[in-house]
Amino acid sequence: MAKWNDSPLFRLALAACAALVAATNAVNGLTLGLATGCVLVLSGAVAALLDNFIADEKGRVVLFMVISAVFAGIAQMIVKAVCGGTAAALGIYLPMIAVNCLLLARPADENGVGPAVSDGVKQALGFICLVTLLGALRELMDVGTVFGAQVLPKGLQLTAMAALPAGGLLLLGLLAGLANLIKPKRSGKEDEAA
Amino acid sequence: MKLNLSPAPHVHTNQSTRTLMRNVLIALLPCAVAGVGFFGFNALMVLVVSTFSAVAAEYLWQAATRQKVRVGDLSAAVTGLILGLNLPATAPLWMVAIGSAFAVVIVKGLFGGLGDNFVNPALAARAMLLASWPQYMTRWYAPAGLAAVDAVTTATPLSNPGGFTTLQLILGSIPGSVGEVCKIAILLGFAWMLYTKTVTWRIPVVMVASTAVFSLAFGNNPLTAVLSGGLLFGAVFMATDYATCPMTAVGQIVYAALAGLLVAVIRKFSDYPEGVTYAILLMNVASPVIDHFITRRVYGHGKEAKNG
Repeated sequence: MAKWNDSPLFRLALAACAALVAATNAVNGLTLGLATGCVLVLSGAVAALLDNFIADEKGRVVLFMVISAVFAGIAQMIVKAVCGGTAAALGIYLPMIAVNCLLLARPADENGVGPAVSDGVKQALGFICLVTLLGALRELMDVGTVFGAQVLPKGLQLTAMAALPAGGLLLLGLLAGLANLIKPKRSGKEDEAA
Repeated sequence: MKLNLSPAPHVHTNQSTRTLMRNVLIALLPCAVAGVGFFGFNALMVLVVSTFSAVAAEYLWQAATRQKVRVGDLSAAVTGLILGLNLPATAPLWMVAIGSAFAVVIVKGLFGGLGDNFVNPALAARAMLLASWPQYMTRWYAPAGLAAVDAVTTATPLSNPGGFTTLQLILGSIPGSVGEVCKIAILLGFAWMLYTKTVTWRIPVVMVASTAVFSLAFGNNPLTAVLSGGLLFGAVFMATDYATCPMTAVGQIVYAALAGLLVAVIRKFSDYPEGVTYAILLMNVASPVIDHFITRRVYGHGKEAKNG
């Protein structure tokens, strides 16, 4: 089950490269998050459906990658059709959702479609929120807007570094550190699950 | 009679972090004086703000995280002063303060404090400022003495090679960062640090020599390459940071030679006119790798380890 400690961006630092390079503004972050999240949920569900037909652990990973690649291809086409500019901004990181380590990190041993989907949805929602937050903060610091809406006085640039991968990494590290401060207390139930 | 039982070492030195840092501060003084002399009141304000905000940031950080407050060890003052000497005299003071706070809190404090930083704090702060506010980090003016307030923006020797005489490059009457221009002041500081055994000759000498050799190999004038930009300042005061350079003598020579090569490569082949910052930062990160491959032979264990 998805727990705080499985939080992809903040705790596991998965999918960080795509988030750091591509999520330079809120729209890019949200698009990347939605595309990754949909692929995550759908490929998890299909993999769980096919789980009974394949017992070999190595074969399972290969199968899972093929499924992810199919859904990532579909996601890429949809993003290109709906918002071509954002697709161009995301660049190589859009097709690379197929090999996103966030997807590969999903446990292939979920029992049944139901748990696989609920787990995938939680992971996807967490990732979408965090990557959008990261993108929005970087957009705010770089050009003073959020989702294109002017927030800071026009022409005020807090720091140009926020749009660079280095600035994204710094910001992600600081956010993850802050998130650690508000880490919820572990309940006994969670410990059992772990 | 009281018998003291204690583990070795039994011979103590009276050197402490404070005395080491005090020696570095003394070594930085000639550069600071020369910089203020050349760039005037602006330069003085940059140095004052950078030093005091570094000390204040260290105090606030250590107090806020309930650590023992160690501003008395002077390390934050050294970091702040080195950062100030790395900035142009035109730098806005709010930017200087942010740079100092970044160096002390994010580069040093978050990684565990003095000795646990993985890159030189002042250099990382300089790189951050350059990435964040390039427009303020590249405004240089020609030295005009204490009267200079509204001086004309101009190109540094790195962007305008051949525009300055060798004597100008040595004395420091050239545009550039506050502390890097006067080579005589840097060498005075180096001499003081050698005399007080604060640093050894290895890293600065090898790094400068390596830059000269590779600049010559890339078809540039090695003398101009050595005397331009922040090479001497970086090699003497920043590449030698104890926490971020290799521990063994051989390792330090490898580190310095590679840093010199990187300086020459970045200056020649990249879009940036200056490469000292990135060269030293990259070698800082590579230091643990160098230490991994070039280790000190532990007394009494060397041959055994080889045979086994």
